[in-house]
Amino acid sequence: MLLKIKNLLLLFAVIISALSFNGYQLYTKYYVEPRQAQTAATVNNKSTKVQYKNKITEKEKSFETVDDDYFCDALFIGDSRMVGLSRYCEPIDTRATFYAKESLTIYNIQNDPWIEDENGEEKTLWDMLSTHEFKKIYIMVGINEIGTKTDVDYSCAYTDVINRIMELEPEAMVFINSIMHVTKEKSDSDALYNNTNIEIRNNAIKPLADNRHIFYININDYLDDETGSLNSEYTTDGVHLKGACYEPWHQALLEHGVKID
Amino acid sequence: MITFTDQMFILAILPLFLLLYYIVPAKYRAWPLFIFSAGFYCYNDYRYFGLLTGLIIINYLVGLLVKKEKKIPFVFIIFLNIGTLISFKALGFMDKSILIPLGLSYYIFKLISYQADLFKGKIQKHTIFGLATYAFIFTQIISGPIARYSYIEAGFATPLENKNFKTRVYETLYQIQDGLKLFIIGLFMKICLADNLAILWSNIKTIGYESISTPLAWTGVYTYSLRLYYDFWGYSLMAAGIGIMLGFPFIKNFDQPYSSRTVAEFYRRWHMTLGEWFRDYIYFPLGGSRKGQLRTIINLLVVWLITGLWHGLTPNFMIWSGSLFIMILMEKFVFSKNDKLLAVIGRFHVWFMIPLTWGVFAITSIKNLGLYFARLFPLFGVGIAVNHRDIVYTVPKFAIYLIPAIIMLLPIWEKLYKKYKDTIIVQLLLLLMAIASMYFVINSGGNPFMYLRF
Repeated sequence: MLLKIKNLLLLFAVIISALSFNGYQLYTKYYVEPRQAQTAATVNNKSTKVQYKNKITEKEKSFETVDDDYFCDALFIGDSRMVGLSRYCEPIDTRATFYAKESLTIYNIQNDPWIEDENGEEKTLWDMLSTHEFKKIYIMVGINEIGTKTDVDYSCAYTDVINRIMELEPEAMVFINSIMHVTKEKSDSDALYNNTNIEIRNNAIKPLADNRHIFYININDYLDDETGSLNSEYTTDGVHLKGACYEPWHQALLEHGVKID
Repeated sequence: MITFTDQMFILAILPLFLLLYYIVPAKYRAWPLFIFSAGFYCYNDYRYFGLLTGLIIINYLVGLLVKKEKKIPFVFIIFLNIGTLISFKALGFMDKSILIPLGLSYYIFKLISYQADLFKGKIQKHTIFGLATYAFIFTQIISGPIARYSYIEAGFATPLENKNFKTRVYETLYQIQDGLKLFIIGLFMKICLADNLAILWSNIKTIGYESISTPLAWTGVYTYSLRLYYDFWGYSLMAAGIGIMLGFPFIKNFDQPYSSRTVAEFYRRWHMTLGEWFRDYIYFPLGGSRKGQLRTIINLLVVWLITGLWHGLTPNFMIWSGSLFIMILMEKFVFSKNDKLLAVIGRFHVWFMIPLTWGVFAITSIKNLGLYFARLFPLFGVGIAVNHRDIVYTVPKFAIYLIPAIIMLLPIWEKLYKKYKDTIIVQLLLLLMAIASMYFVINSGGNPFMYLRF
């Protein structure tokens, strides 16, 4: 029975240090009331206008089917679902450049150095675009943002990103990919990551397309089942496509090419 | 649902309960334990609280006759308990919407153990309160370990009664500290290792089994094996640790299974309380290995058949337990004829075949199991859209969990811990482990989005 006081002190230290962690809790704001958010979007519609300057007089362009070589001068930006495309869609991966990262949001794209360059340094998208040239830029983010801020903030940030891309790559075309749906099972059981919330965000970014330099591709047309949710055969977690199931997305991209005059 | 890894439980509920438990005079201490345990169960699964209470009352009443060594009531109560377990398992299997009572398999096994011990005259005092505390004790109700009634008796035998107040306080504090240390180690294993390794396993599932490369498939089964081990061992250590804090003896559920020399030995060292339960209440009553070779084979078959069914009713559990049965049989009757052969094959079984059996354990659908094994052994089929560099993308970020998980498999750590557990270095290490674990506990508890990043 040799009780060492230092042991006891250590016991208390464990509890106190554990308690002190409480100060570092992360809170995430999110809304579950879709209607309120929608109204807000209409009110603030003005703030989400893309400034394409001088180009408004150009004619609208329409989509046509292209082959894989179309992606040779393309850049793909996105979150884990875009990472998946880079790993499991060989025809695109072998031709295009990918700046994709798990849990990437439109807000990260705006501000953070998140792209590792050839020397292993972390750079912002703006650093990379000023040294590299792309003719087509595909973006798909949006699912990670659902837990944070509103659809208006989302749309504003998206606008900002597109404006800055257009400044740095004035000749490029930007293809906004709709946020991919989740499965019905996931959607019905998740108060946050559900298709109602995804559609609110999709509706917020759809108007950014001018069909001249900025285009909107609804990839969900290719991936949904009859209920308007992500086809459950394409996924095991309800959110990410299985490695073997990237083909419908690939097809959507092939059928939504735009030829440069 | 509140479990041992909840922030609330660790930081508030457990300390407050301990305080209350030790304020109450020793001879009445069973009361706060019982009330707290019942409350704990109720909070987690109030719908079936009545069922469990009812079972306890019936078991107590029939137990009055069983204690007098009457055979018919004994057989009746065993069938009633098993019947309840089978009914719920079957209903749950047929209709997924039916919820199985929390911890059912565990307390049913404890009730059977109680009745058998009562019948054999191993239990001196048959009281409803003792039985209820035994069945409800919160340290074991969710997923074991499956203690015997003697555990409860030992916990309430008050060896400190005659000592003076100061000694009692010191010894109690020392005991709490000892339990806390085990709790921290268990928490670390579960939260820092197992829960993070589970993410790697789930990432493999997300890719889809038909699209994983063969190296990733192998990494997958080993990762899952490690995950399961630390999850379960960690949980068992936490349960044992809390038990010690309350003055109960240490209950050993894992004994370095991966240093076993054969599958048979592995299962004597893995989930030991379950294995011992099967041995004492099924294998031995059937005659064990004392009634000739054929009977031994049949008895082993019965044990492994029930083990498979107990874990789940989907066919993969039959393949799992069936393959273990065959390996054990081969070890016992074929390979044992040559010591050197047994030494080689036995290790091969433990390090190579057991992880494969865990793969079978993890994947409940036969179709997916086929896909997975076709990737493990690519001779049997080709994958779809396999990215041969997937292991490079997927695994390195988990190295920080995989490497300690592998190092901690060495049995030497347990010996070192026992020898040096009171030294300042070990205590500081434990402090670091506690801080690391609490970091994950609080982040995942306070922020449900921690693992929801796409």
